[in-house]
Amino acid sequence: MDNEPKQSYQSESGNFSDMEDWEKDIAKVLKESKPLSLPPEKMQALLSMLKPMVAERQSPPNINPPIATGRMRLGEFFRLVRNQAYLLELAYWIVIGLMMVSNLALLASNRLQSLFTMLFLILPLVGGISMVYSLRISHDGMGEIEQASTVGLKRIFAARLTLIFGLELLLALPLLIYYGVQSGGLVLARMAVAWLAPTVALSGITLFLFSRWGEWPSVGIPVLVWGSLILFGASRAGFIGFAEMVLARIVFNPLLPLLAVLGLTAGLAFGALGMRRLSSGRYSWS
Amino acid sequence: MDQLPDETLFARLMKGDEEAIEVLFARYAQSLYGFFWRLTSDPSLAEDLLQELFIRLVNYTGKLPQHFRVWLYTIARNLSYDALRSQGRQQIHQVDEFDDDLDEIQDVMQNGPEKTALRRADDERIRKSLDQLPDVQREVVVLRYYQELSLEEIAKVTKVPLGTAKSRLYHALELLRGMLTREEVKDG
Amino acid sequence: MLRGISKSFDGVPVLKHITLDLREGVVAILGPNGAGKTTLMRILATVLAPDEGALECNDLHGEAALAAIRNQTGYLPQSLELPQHLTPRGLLRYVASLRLSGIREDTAMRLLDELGLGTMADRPLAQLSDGQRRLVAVAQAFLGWPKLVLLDEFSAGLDVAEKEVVYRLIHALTPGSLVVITSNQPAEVEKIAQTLVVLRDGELRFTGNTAELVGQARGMVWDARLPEHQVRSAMECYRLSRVRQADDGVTLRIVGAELDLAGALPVEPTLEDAYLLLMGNALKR
Repeated sequence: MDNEPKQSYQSESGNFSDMEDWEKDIAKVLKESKPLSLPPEKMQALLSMLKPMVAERQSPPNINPPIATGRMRLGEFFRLVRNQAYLLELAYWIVIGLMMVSNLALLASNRLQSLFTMLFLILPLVGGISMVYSLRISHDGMGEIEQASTVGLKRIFAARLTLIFGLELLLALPLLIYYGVQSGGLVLARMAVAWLAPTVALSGITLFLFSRWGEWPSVGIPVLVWGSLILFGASRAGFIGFAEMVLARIVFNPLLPLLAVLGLTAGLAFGALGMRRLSSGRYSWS
Repeated sequence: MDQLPDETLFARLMKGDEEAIEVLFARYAQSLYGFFWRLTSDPSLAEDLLQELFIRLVNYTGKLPQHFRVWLYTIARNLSYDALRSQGRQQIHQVDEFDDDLDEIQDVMQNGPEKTALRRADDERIRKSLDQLPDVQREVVVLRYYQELSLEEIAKVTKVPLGTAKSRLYHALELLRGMLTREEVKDG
Repeated sequence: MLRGISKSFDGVPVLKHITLDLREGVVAILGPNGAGKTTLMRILATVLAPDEGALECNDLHGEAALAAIRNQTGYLPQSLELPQHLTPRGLLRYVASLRLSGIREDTAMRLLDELGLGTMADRPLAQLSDGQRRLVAVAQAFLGWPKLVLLDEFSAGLDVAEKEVVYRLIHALTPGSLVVITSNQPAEVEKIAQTLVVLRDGELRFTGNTAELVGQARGMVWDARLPEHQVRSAMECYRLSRVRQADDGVTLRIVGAELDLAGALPVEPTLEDAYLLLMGNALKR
C-alpha cells in the first residue's frame, strides 16, 4: 500500500497514481477548488526583493567568523585603522589640514622660530588632545558596542591611537625633514627624539588621566603643565632667545637621549595603564 | 536548471545563485501562498507568511536539509500555526487520535455503506467545509490534495506516525464527504 | 547560558545568582526599573564582567565562550549616543568593520531601507529625529543578521509604526537565532516574545512562556464595578491593574489571591495582570 516514490520534485498537475480508492472520489472534488493566488506583480515584487539577498551570499557573510583570539594580520589592522577615520569629525580634519598648510607656509617662508614653536611646543599638545578627542567618541556611547564586538576594545583603541599618531607624524615630518636637511642626520635624529619623547609622554599621561578622571582633567592638566614649562623656560631665556636656547640644548645636550628615554617610558607606561583601565570589563562606559 | 532537484537548487541558493531562487520560487511560491491561505483563511496574512518564509529561506545558514519539500512545508506549517496562535485563533480542542489499523480502514470501506456519488461542488462550499475541519485534519487534506505531498511526507511534516496521518486523512475525508453531500441535499 | 551570575555596584547587589539557559527565539526580560535588566544585558554582551558566575556558550567556557559570544552578537545598549556627525551609512560601515566578517555595503543599505531610512542614509545623524536615530541604532545591532541580538530598551523613543518595523526585523531573523529584549511593559513584549524572564530586585521571579505566566494568575483576577465613593478605599486595599471610568461608576481590575468584595467577577487574566500579580503582594491589607 505504501509505495509512494520519494520524489523530490513532482509535476504541477495532480498526480493521482498513489491514491487510495477511498480517496479518489473526494480528491477529485476537492481538487476542483482553486486556491487564491497572489497577483503576478506581487510575486515579482517578492522575488525582486529576494534575489539580492541571495546574491549577497556569494561572499558568504560568515556570521560566525573564526574566533579572533590570535594576532590580527597587519593588513586587517591597517584596515581597522582606516575605518577609525570615519569617527573623526570633519572639524578635526580641517584643523589637521590647516596645521599642515601652516607648516608648509612656515617652511616656505623660512621662519625658524615659528617652526620651532610649532614642532616642539604645539604638536605634542595637539597629540595629547587628539588622543582624548578620539577616545571620547567611545566614551560617549559607541564604547559598549565596540567592547561587545569581535574586534575588541583593545584593538580598536590601538588602531585609533595609531591613526592619531600617524597624523601627528605627518604633521611633524616636513618640519623634521627640513631640520635634517639643513643640519644633517644626527641633528635630525635628535630632533626626532626631542619631538617624539614629549609627544609620547604627553599622550600617555593624557590617556591615563582620561581613564581616571575623564575629559577635562585629561586635557586641562597637560596643557597647564606643559604651558607652565614653556613659560618658565621662556622667562629664563627671554622670548627671543628661547627658541635658540632649546634648539641648542637639543643639538648639544648629552642628556637628551636619557631624558628622551625617560619621557618615552613614562608616556608608554602611563598610556598602557590608561588603556588597560579603559578596555577592561570593569570600566563603566555610561 | 529547471530539472534539478530541490536539494541541489537550495544548495546553490545558499552559495548565492540567483537563478536557483528563481526556480525554487517559481516552483513553490504560488502553491505555498495557497497553502497559507487555506490554513489561515486570510489573504493578507498568507502574503505576509509567504514573504517571511522566503526570507528565512534565503537567509538560512544551517545544515542542508535532506528532504527539501518536507523541510519547507514544516517551516510553512510552523509559521502558520505561530501566526494563528498569536491571533488567538488556534483551536483548543484536540481531535481524538484514533489508533486505527490500516487494514481496518480498508475493511470498513469495502463493507461500509454505499458511497454517495459526489457532484461537483463549488469553491465556496469546499472552502467552508474545509474551514470546519479540526486543524490537524484540515492540514492533512490541504497538504495532500493541494500541495500534493505523499503521505510519508505529510507524516514527516506533521511529525506523526504514518498510520496517524492516514487515519487523520481518512476521518477528514469522511467528515468532508458528509458535509459536501449534506449541502447537495439542501440544494437539491 | 548564564550560570550563577551575581553583580554588585558599590556594595549594592544588582543581580543575585541568576542562572538562565537561553536558546533560540525571542526572550523578553521584564522587570521594573532598577530590577537589573540592563546589567544583565551588559553581562550577556560581555561588556560587563560579573562578580560571580560565568557565561557559557555551546559548551565553551571562559574566554573562549566570551569570544564566541562576541563573534555572533549584535548589541544595542540602553543609552547610546551616536556621534552626531556620522551618517547612517557611515555608522553601519563602521560597525561592520568591527565585525571582521565582510558585511557588504548593499546589505547595510538594504537594512536601512527595511527601516524606512534609505533616503536618509547620507544625512548626518544630527539631522534625523530621535526616533530615526534610535532606528539606526537598532539597525547596527541587526547588521549581518547575527545569531544573538541584544536589544536593551529598544522601544524607547519609538512611535508605534517604528516599533512595528523593529518587530518585522526580529521576525526576519533566521530560525536558530536568539533575540533578547528588555522592557518594563508586558503588553509590549506579548506580541513578539516566546519566552519571558521576569526580574525583580536582581532576582529571577519567573521564566517560561507567556501562557504559563498568565496561567499562574488564573482565578486571581477580578473586575469589580464600584460607585465613585468606594473607589478610593478600594484603591488603598487592593492591587489594581486597570481603572476604567463608566457612566454608572468605575470598573476596577483587581489582582489578588482572595477577594471578598461583593460584585467582583472573576475574569481571564491578561499578561499585564499576571505580571502585576507576580511583582507585588496581592493584597495590601
